[in-house]
Amino acid sequence: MFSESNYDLEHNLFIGLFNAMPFSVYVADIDTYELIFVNTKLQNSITKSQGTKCYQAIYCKDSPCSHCPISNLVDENKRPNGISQVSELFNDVDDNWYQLEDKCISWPDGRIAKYSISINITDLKQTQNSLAEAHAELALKAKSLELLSITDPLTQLFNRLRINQILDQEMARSSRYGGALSVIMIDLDNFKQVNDNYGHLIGDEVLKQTAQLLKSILREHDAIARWGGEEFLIVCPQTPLTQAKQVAEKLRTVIENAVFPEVDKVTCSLGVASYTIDDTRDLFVGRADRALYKAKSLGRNQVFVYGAQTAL
Amino acid sequence: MINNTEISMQRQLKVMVVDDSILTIKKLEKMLTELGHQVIHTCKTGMEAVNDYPKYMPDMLTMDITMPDMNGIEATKKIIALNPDALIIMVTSHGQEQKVMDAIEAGAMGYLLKPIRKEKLETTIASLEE
Repeated sequence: MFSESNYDLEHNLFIGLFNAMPFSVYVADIDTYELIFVNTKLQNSITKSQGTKCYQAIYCKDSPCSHCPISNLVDENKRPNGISQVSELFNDVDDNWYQLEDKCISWPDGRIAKYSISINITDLKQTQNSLAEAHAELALKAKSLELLSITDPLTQLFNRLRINQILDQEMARSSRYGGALSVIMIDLDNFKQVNDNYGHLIGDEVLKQTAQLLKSILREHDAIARWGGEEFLIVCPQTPLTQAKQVAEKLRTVIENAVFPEVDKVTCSLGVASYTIDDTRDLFVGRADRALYKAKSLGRNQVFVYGAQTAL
Repeated sequence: MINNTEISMQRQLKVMVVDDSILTIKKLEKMLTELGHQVIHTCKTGMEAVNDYPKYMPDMLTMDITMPDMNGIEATKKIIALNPDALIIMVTSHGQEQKVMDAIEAGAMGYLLKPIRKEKLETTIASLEE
């Protein structure tokens, strides 16, 4: 014993210390990832013993782990930089959470090694994780409530509240940066008769189908809402009156040509108006509304445009 | 009248599992199969998931967050852009509030933390069908 070399002395000290710890400890060569030492506590729970690489034996991987901290623990000459890094890690080999303390040291045989001390914190993490999951559930509920508050329940289009917000934003944008803005007001023709002749359930189906048809042919940046009973409002940003008229005409044709089960044919009337600076929302939408009633009075199933010269 | 809820609860879902850990993929496959669902495809990166999604059009995806080449939150955004009704559950070890919010903002419909428990997976899948 008296002839014990410095190497043995140092080596035995490390091993004695690591084996005395009530936590799992391993030491790996930072160049080859070879396991140099595994303490008694860890030996019982890993699949392979020393001699294999740490990422194989501890993490069952076939290449170094993406979370490997070695590069943070050495200087540019690959010497230990004295930093001790603490992190939390989920090991999917045994489904446990660990708090890891990693540090690089000079092993007695001269190799540079990283030691890892891991403490099982699974119970603690499960409490934390339940909180995070509850947080996620709340966020999802909030999101669906928000969606609910801006959606028309029958047609799944935006409701009046939401389209008014969109209108305000687009009017502000148009005032500030210029650019045309138009709206199209749509009303199904003689819808009262549909309800009277076929009942409200069929009437609702017609509204739903109309909503889907209109939505399917609108451009991506247009917004559509159910404005009231059988009335829909479409906001067309960056769209001058002539272009909005074309969109309206397309919508009219699609509804006219569609086959509605049980009811067969449905038509609609449309009013188109463009935004002018200093418009209020009511003035702006009011013009589309008056254009719509003009379309109705001219015989329905048509588009009427509220132009600069229009006086209604 | 047929009870729709009961039918949808029992519906067998075609699932795509996205995770860079083969161990997690195997665990999820086993649990999903035991819950009566079918894993039709597995991917090991976010990019793979985005590319493969249109080919498989699964009813549901489980999505890891930390993966090489594209993370699960980016992949979720891209898949939701392809199909706004895609059902995506995050299965991750990241419990930070910001990650949770980012994932839900991206369009995830569920958020499960590892270790995965079959009961939690079942409850989350049931909540998707509501």
